[in-house]
Amino acid sequence: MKKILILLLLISPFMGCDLDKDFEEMNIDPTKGASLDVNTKMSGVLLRGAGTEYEMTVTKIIYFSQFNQYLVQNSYPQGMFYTFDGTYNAGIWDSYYSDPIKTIQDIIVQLEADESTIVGSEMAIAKIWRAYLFHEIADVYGQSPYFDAGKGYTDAILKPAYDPLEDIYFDMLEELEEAGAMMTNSSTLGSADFIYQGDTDKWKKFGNSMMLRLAMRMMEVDEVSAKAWAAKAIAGGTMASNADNAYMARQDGPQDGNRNAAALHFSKYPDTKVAATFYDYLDDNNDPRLAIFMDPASPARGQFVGYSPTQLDSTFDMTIDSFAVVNPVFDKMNTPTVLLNYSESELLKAEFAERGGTGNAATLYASGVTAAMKMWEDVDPSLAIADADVLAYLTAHPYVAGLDGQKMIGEQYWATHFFDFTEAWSNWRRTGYPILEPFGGAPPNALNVTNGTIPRKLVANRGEAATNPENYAAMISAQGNEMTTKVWWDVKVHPTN
Amino acid sequence: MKLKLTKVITMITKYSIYGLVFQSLFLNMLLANPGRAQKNVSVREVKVALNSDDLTVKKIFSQIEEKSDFRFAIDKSDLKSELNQIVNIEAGEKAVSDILLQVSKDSKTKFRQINNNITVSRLELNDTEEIIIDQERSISGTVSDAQNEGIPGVTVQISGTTTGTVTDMNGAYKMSIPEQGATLIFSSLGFTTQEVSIGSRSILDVVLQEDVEQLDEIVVTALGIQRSSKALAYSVAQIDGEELVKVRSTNALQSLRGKVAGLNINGNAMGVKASTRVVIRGNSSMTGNNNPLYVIDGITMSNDNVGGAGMWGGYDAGDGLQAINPDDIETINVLKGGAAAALYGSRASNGVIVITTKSGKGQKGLGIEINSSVQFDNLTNVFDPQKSYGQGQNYGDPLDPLNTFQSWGPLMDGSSRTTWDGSSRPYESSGDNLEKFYRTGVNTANTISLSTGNDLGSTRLSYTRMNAQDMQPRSNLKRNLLSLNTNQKLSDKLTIQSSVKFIDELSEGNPNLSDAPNNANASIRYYAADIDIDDFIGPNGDGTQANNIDEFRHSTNIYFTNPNFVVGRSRNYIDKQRLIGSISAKYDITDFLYVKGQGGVDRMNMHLNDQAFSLWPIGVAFSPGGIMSEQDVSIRQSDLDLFLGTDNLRLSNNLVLNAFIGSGRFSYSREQSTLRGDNIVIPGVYDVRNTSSQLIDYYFAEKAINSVYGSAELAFKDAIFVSLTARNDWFSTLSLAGKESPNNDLYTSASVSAVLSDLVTMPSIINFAKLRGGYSQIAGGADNPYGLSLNYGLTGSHTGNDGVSLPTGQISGGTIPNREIKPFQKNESEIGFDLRMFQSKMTVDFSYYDNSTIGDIVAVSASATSGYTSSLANLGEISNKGIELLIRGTVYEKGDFSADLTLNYAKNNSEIISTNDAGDNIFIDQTRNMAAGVTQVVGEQFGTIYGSYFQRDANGNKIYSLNGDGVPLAVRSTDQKILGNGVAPTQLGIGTDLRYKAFQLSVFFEAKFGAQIYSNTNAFLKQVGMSKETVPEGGREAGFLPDGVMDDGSEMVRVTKENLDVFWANQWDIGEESVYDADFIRFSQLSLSYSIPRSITNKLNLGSASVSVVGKNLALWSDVPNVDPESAYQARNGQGLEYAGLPVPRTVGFNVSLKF
Repeated sequence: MKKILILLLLISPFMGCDLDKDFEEMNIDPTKGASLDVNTKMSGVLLRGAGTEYEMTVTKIIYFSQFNQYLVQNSYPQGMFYTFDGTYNAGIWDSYYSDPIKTIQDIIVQLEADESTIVGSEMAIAKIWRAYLFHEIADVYGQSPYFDAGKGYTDAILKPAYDPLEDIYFDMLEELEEAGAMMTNSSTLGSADFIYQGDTDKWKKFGNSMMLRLAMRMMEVDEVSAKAWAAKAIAGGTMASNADNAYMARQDGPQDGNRNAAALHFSKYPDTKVAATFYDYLDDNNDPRLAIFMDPASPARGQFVGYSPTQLDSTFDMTIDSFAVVNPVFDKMNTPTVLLNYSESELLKAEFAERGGTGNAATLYASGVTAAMKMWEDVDPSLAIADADVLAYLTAHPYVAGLDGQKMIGEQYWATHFFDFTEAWSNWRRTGYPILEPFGGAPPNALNVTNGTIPRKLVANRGEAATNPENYAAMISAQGNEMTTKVWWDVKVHPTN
Repeated sequence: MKLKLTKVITMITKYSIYGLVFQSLFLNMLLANPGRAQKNVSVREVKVALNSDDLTVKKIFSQIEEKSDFRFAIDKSDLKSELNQIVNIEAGEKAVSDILLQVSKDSKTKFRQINNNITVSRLELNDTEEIIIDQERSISGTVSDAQNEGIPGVTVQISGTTTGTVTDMNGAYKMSIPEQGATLIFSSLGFTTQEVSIGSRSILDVVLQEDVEQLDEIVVTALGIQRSSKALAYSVAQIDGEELVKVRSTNALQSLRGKVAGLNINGNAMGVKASTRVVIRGNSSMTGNNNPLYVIDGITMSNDNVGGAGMWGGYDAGDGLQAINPDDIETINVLKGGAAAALYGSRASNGVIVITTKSGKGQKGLGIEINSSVQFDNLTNVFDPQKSYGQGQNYGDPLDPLNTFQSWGPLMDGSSRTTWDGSSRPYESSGDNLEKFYRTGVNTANTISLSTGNDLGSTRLSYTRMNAQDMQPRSNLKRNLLSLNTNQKLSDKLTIQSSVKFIDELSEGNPNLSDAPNNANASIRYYAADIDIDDFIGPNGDGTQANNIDEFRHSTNIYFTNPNFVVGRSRNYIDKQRLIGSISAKYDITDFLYVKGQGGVDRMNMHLNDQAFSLWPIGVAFSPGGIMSEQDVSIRQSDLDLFLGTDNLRLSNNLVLNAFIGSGRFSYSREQSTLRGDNIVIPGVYDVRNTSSQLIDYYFAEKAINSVYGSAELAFKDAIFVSLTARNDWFSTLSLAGKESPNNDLYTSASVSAVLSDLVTMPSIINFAKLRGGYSQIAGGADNPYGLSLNYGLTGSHTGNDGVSLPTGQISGGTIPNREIKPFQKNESEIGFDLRMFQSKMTVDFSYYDNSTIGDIVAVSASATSGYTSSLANLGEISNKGIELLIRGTVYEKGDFSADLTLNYAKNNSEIISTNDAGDNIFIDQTRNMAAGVTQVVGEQFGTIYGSYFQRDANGNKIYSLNGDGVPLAVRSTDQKILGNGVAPTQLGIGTDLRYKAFQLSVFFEAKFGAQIYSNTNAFLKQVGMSKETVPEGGREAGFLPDGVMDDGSEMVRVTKENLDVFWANQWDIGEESVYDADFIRFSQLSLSYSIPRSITNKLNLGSASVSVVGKNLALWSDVPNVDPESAYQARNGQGLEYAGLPVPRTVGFNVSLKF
């Protein structure tokens, strides 16, 4: 039959041609490539992994910044009242899995396949960045797809299994260790590495600082392992100064992804105000950061008023101008994003020392606080704090050993991570510092889903019930999936005032 | 409405059908004139016994006359001697022919049989035979036009011969025909040529249609080839252009709603600009395109739906069909079955809609037609909120007076109250905000057409100007359509035909649907009962604040834009130009062999300046800097076909062949570039360069299909028709270097049609009966190109800490590619019959079909954690089985009065047989509150509504649990289940035409049953306390006792009036809460027209003139509260989801039609 039909070509408009001669060529998208070099992919995954407007707005600011009592927002009180919203809960889940996770897995597959070039450093950087991305998902959602995630194309895994959080943690730690070992002295990334321009020494420190962060996170649930990994991280060399800090440079467009995600939020929501808890902490302690975090054009110092939990019932209105707002520097689209900083490592080392590890807690504490105050001048020169002010602050707040020291470290960790809302929330969940009185009013807001307590986990995307039902159900029965569910490392009974 | 609508409707339907059938039977029996059923037999077949051996010729004749139906016609004076001749014949039974042979020999006479008459004459010397018993029949009748006036000068010709005659002044004709059945061809300039098989009839009255391809007779099939309808083995519905202009729609196909069995038409809630979703015989692809192929004047037409809302909002930028002016349409043929579509190729796997536009054919001299219509759109009373409780929370005052979307305050008593802006207003119902905000829509359409024709060709030129003002202020549509059709016989053998359509359209202020930003239709329904939309108009009258820039705040929720600001400041427009052109040339090589070539192109350029979809003016609360974008879209598709065919090639006396072989190429490309700018610098200057940062985006897609095909149709005795087709398509979208699976497929069809009424004797009430059946395959490729391999794209560039700018890349798309995708196949079996009864006053057309799509190319849902949202697979299978019934009849006819009734009924059962190896669900779409969505689930119908639900105990009672404040709250599921089905399986249309003298009244009712709708609007109305469902019987004061059980087995706790808002806020996003049965009956059309009598038109020098009053959507019966059950927000596969659309209007208007 086919032969007969082909004979009919004698009267064909394309007589003499193969019937599908130009089709293979036609079906190649001229605007896309079948492959892409590692550097260009790496640029993309670093940029998007450093935060985009979507998850910054719907999850990190609306939920975490309010959980942490840094900020409050009249138009989006979900993070004050601890109410459920499917979109806001799933912001990090949706953003990370859909792109950076898949692309970083793709990069690693590409590097593994590429035997022609020396890929030690590139692979190491990719693994470090992968751990950086995954640890945030794991901390926020607890059990989540890790080993199978992002492998829809490479391994045809359409329904990734959810992995126990401890398995994820130990694998991330091993990956970081492996990355440190394979890092060479140079990398071909160059300028494509928007963070360190291919400086492998800095990436190595970044990796060890991440290892320290993860190790310390396990402190309450598995102290032995935590200390062993922390010691390993410190021995490997964590960040040594603010010069090692990881920043993502920002610029005003053309895409949202180029911009400082927090600024995109602040420009749209002028009703985003500073919470009284954070404001008062800085103010009460004469913290010089008060002047750089708050808008100096707001009412004169002393008149700044933050928004407090007790106000929620009667005066649910933040249109009043006397509420403090953040410094307009942070509203700028080109203000860099701090991804990981030296101050954090020093504070974690201080805690490690305080809890029986190596080092001098007081020295490390002072070093961490100094770094935290001085690091903002690298973000914008106008945010510089004079050495004398730092010294005065440290003199006024000398380190006290013991539980009070742990409290001081926890509060400083909170102050250091203004704008890294996820990390501050995770550390609060682990340590209970700073001690926070839940928002939400009394009795709790009608839509509150936590009985008035600060949430301990976000709800994994409920859409998984339809697209990954068995694994999702297994996760729920193994761990729970409520905003009050505590993840593996969240076991400490929080201190109260 | 509390009544069980479905039940009632089923009952009404049942009785309507019974009624129609009985009425038709009864009336027609009374009125029936049992025509002269004459049976012609040959003298060779009839035997008679003569009573004696020796009889005179005269006696023999009288004995034959006595014992048979034969009558002798004799000129007695001339044959006196012969008649008295004695003939010697043996007595006993003998064939009449044998008797006459002997008579002839003995008396030197000869005979000629015409019907039952035998003429006798003298045998002449040169007659070679002694007897000529030449059986002949005569046929007579009248040829008249549709107005029942005889047409003089019609050529009546016996098919395949040169024998013929011409009708007289009254249209009457009479002629002899051969004994063997023959077909008569009636042809006249200006009328459609008709071929009628005589069968056993001796009287044949014919009505010729003025240059219209009649449903009964000629149907345009694949490649523009015309076939007699009785040869077709599949169901075809033909709709006259008149039907489309009776009650006009901006989208011509909307006028077919409910009128064609098996054609499921939906729009979306976007007013006059809405796209139309048309599905024939059920959805046959789970995720792909389910729209039929549109063919206009032989050339395929693009029907891309550009834009369209999803869960995050957006607006519909219209579809391709809108470019066709209803006034230009001669007929629409809906080719429903696979066999019908097999020769259009893979793109016809969802059926074909063939549009034939008017030509000047049949026009003698210059004809001018003018048609004018004006229609007014008004709100219906579907939106019916509570009006007793005003703004507030917990049955008290609002905590934040600007929080206007909460109507949980105390009973309104008219007292003075401090409101959102600090001023006092009476605490009372603000009236109907929708009435205040929407305007009366005014739609006008004016068409003038010029046509001329002669024996060699014809030309028609038409121009239409359409102006539509939507109900939403500032939403306007202006459309100019120019159409030129010509056909010309260049020589005896060469005919060319061309068609050009040019469309220029400007559509501004397009309403957003679904999600709230910039959607005026969202906020307006949710204001508390005492909130007045007019209070938010602002000092400048356009929803801005005093600074004339910023949005006037109407709510604390910045994503719900002030409707006054939406229409006052947001801007968007679509500027569309489209050219559809085709040329065909047919060359007759011999009188039975021809070659034909045709080519056409459909090119559309669109410019979207879109500040409503993703872009907003400076000052809008949720994006104060403003965003704007400009987009250019260019869509081009072309067809080229060349084929060789036979035209009624007579293989033998009883066997006629119509066949062709050919090949074609279809190609398509779409290119679009977008300029987007963020943060407008100078307010009011709408130029992308006037923004602080800009983004460029570019998209390109290209695909083609090459085909070779052939078809053969054998007609046996013009009563049995066997058709075979074969086609092989090659798909570019399935082509990839190194691919192992095929990129092409060969598919065939076979079908048979038997005109039983021509083959066997039928009861006298049946005039025509045809049985048809067929089996067909159609293969298809992937809709979209580039789906076989993973692609990487650049997303832009970025500058790192060292100041160096470099591009950033990523994996493109969220669907996992599959390099081994091969063509899918749709198989369909169909059987059916056509019956015409009572002098064709009643027709019945029935079909049963069973189709399945195997290897459907689907994007199966994947967990987002895989990095992708779906995976392309080739394992989908979906089946559709259904029946279609069309009954048309003249139920009453007396004097000047007549009544016609039309009823059509269709039922389709769809089932998803498989998706992929694992039977995974396929996610299609979900609503903004994520409570429900549309998902394809194995074992279920196409498009189930899938969502969260209430936890229930073993007895089905809802389970409630006390919250911290002691309020019983419904416990929600942690997973999702099937809550309904978004596509109606059953649809019904009933219409009647009543005529009295020059008046004609047409009414039409449309109904659909068996579907559900997820109404996000109602979910929202419950959350904000505006739904009547939130007011318990007796008012909110006494609280509300939920119907269910407590989770701890204790007594059900009453929700106090203070906690009703908490109660409803808890369950507004439980999917099950807002799923409604979408059954409805709609009084969809009314038209009362008056044809101005000829006595007047003649004086005015007019050919004809008519005026009519029309109405659309005049009444609706539905159980869905507050929204129209058909207000979907998109025309794609996510059917059954509704959110914040433009209200469906009620339309009244006038038409004037003049012919010169």
